[in-house]
Amino acid sequence: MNNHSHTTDRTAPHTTEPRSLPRAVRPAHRALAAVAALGLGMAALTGCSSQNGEQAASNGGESSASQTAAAAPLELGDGWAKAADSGMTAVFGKVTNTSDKDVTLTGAAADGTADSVQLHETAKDGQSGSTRMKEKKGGFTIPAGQSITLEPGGNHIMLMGLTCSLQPGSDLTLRLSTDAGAQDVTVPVRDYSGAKENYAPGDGASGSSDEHSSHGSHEHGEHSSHEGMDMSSSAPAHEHASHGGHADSPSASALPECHGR
Amino acid sequence: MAADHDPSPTGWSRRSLLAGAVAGAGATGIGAVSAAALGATDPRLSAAQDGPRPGLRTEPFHGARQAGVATLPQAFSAFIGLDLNASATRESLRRLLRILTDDAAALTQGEAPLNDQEPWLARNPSRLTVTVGFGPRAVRLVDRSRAPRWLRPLPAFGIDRLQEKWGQADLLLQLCCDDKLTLAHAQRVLLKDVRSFAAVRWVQDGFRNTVGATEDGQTMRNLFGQVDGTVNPYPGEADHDRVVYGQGGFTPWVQDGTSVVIRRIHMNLDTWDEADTPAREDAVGRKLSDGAPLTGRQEHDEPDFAAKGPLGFPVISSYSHVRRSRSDNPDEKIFRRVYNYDLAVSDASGRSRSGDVGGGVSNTGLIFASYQSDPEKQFVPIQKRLDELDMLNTWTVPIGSAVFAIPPGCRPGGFIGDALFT
Repeated sequence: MNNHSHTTDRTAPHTTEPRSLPRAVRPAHRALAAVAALGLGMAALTGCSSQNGEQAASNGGESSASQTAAAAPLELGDGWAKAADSGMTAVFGKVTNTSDKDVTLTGAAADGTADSVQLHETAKDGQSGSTRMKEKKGGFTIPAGQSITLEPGGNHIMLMGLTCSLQPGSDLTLRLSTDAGAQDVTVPVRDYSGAKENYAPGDGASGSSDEHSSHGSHEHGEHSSHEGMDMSSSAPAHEHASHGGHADSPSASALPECHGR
Repeated sequence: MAADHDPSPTGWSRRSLLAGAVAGAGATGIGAVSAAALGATDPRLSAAQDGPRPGLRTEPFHGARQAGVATLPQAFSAFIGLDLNASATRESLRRLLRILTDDAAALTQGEAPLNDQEPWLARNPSRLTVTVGFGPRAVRLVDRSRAPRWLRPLPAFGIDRLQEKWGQADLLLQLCCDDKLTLAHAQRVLLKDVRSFAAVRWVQDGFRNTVGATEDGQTMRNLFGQVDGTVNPYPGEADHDRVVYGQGGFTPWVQDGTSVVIRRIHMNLDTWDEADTPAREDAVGRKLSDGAPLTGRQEHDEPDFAAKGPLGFPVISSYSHVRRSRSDNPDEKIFRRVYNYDLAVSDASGRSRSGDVGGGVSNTGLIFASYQSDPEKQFVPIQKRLDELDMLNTWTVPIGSAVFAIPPGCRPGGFIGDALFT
């Protein structure tokens, strides 16, 4: 089973290392933790079995270690997805090619969560000088033993047409496709105010604009700066907690939660 | 109370003995090694000079019990009361706890959480601890049948002038750290995590001496100038596990769980100023200079309540804080880990009068954090006695009160409170 909770994945390294381990060596352990998320039979890391059991069931059993036994030689380290009530969102992390051959990440899918998933790069627009994101045709080729970093403001995996809301603290399972096979990865979902395709300081109220959530359509490939923002119709998707305290229902446009929870 | 012991391996120490050991010829442990290695004879060159700089020190996050209780008190604290959204469910609380656990595990070990936008601010953990407590509503959401009987407001005390803004909340985040910048960053990261799930009801910032200002483990002083917290079942001593975790005594609400009572106690420095040293020492029953009981020579000497002065009156007055807080019932013990607060007061002038909780040039007091297995059997009887009579009440006013159940710690892979979800 590969649907370990993200807490399992993130904290597992602490089991084996001394408390006083120098900071400098820690990042490597985090990368190793991703192995668990990639379903390489890390049953021993299952610290909270009932939780993981429910997690797996609620993910619809769409993936398992056995299905990906001949998985692509990729590790996703420190992966995470931005929470979204609807529309679009993105996934980040460090993708490492663990093999001695080049591997091309050609695409991804999130069945049951998003209608479509694209690989995106962020590039300067030659005309306007602004930064924009566009689909990375042909995918990302990762040289043998090398890594690429998917991060807010840079390359990322884009989920479009969410069919359910990704709530913070839940998990998202993605299938990564490569020219060397497929690989399932599970990442935690986190609130995040950045990761906007385009950001113009002063546009809209803080936290209330989020083009990944506000588009609500797939037409997303190559828009430029202003097309990316749709402030007027954008509900404050993540402001569940009102300033007053308890008036906190999710925005009216929120989809049902993913995983049926 | 057991007799004084050597400094405990936890870092808490009977300060008077520690100071004696380091200064004396028979010094043992790191302090002596350090001094010898440096060829120094000055006992002020302490153990702190060995090992990594203070900013790199870490406290374990995972374990049977949560950190931040037995942990040697850090210099700064933020006690944060959270009110869960009206729509909160068992499942949303679980999601929140998973996130908080994940990020606290990282931050306390000097790692930046996944989505930390200022990861450089996580590099100096400075013994950061993050402790989670459950208010009544949180425990009911998780498992109503596990709610401890004592998880409810304390009985009203006559001296209380409680303000709702410091009252009971649904969740507690207790952050303690030796560095204020690291603490502020951790607080920001965790409150960003919380934002979708809950609102901040209060934040109680506290402080003690900074690292190196005093000997590690020295009993702190409050802003009355008193040595505050001398009698305490220190970690490593026989009483500690019983008092805090109910081992061999009370029945803990959950194995390795405890409770914290957070009392916000205003201290009227202006009327305290009107009392001269003899009156102050009489009110407390201890010497201000070193915290020794009026009948003793050192801080940790046992008070002799039977001792009489030349005129036949008790040396330690019957109304003194030391006398009134002492019980013959061995159950009535608590473990204190208190912090000072001192809020900025602008445009201040004049003096605060007796009984006031405002005015004057200071807004000062104590965040009295008391840990015990059963607040109603341990904390309340003590507080009742102090409510009835304690000369110190002349200058102090409780203005906030909240009780939280502290769940056990978690193993790597688990999350704080996971035992209650099974």
